[in-house]
Amino acid sequence: MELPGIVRLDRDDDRCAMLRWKGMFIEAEWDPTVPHSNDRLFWCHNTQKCLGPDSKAVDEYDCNETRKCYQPL
Amino acid sequence: MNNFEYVNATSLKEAAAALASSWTDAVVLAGGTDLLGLMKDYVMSPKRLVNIKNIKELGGITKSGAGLRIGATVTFDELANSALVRQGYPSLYAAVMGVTSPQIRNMGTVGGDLCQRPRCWYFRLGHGVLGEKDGKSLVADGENKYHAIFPEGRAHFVSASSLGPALVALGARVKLVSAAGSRELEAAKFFVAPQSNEAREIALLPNEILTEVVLPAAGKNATYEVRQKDALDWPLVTASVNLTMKGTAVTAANIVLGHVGPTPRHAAGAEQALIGKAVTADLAMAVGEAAVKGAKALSQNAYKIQLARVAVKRALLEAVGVKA
Repeated sequence: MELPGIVRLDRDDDRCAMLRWKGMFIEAEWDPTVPHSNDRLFWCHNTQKCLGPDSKAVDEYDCNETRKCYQPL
Repeated sequence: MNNFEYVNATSLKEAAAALASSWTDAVVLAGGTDLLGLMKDYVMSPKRLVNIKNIKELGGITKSGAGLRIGATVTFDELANSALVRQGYPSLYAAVMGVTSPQIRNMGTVGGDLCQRPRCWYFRLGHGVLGEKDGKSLVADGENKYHAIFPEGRAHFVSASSLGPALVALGARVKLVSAAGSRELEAAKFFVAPQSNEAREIALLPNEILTEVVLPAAGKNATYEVRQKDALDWPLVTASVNLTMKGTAVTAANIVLGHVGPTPRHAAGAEQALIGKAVTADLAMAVGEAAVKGAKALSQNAYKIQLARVAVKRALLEAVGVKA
């Protein structure tokens, strides 16, 4: 399923399970005619902050398996 | 958040009397768009909030012989809808419109913008305004992509004020009132770089209220913000310029960079390079280069140096109406 926001759940299966973003909480099917946007608002479900447990920034690129705090989906 | 006492002041005298000599005892509440978040995160836990939004004399935008007076509780929305601001101070108007959330524009105030705390994530995580742990800077070795390229001493955060650079470039003055009296400061001196975690990044004292901003008549002025996104966010770099002209030649210039250091930064060397000359695209580029002289990039923010160059160039060209 695809949700609003740049992170597409069906294509980002290597993202950290703790990554959160606003679009994730909009329960609507994405309108394919609307381009993806990126509000750049990410946070870690573990810390509830924009820095993860390792004090590194949280986003859709950096929250990957190279980090110690990474949790697979 | 912790419990707190609430004082709904209806006069400046009442509000000033409710303040104290310590930030932990009492703080001023206006729009609350920054303060309430800080309280929810336990970064600030004042015992008393003093609401100043119901004090009539702190509102309004009026023109007088001294220039334009803007009350501290004037909202961003009121600024955006003021013809006096839009026509006479386009640099301020651009900074206002940079705050892209209607909700924040409706609630956020001029005074609150100038007094807002840094957005540095280490500060917001409770490591103090200098972002230090065990005496060591978390910024220098940590996540610093949005931090200062012009640090001042131990201060690596950037001033969060959206209006600050424009107000400094325009030569604004701010009025601060306490129960003991009042004083006026140049906007440039209102912002300070703290050198301890207990110090503030503004010259306001805990028992003072910022009551108004006064803008003198302006020259050709413009603000250019470089942003990561169109939605609500703080700029990565801002450049505000205010040029006094004689014909096409610049006779005096104020160039102020924002979001590059703990205070809005006068680019003094760059200002000198403009005097006596007409602004052209080539000159604007050279001035942009001069404006970033002395910048010191951290491990992740070298990109901001280029952004600052371009912001200065584009603000200058916009001020004089030259297309890049």
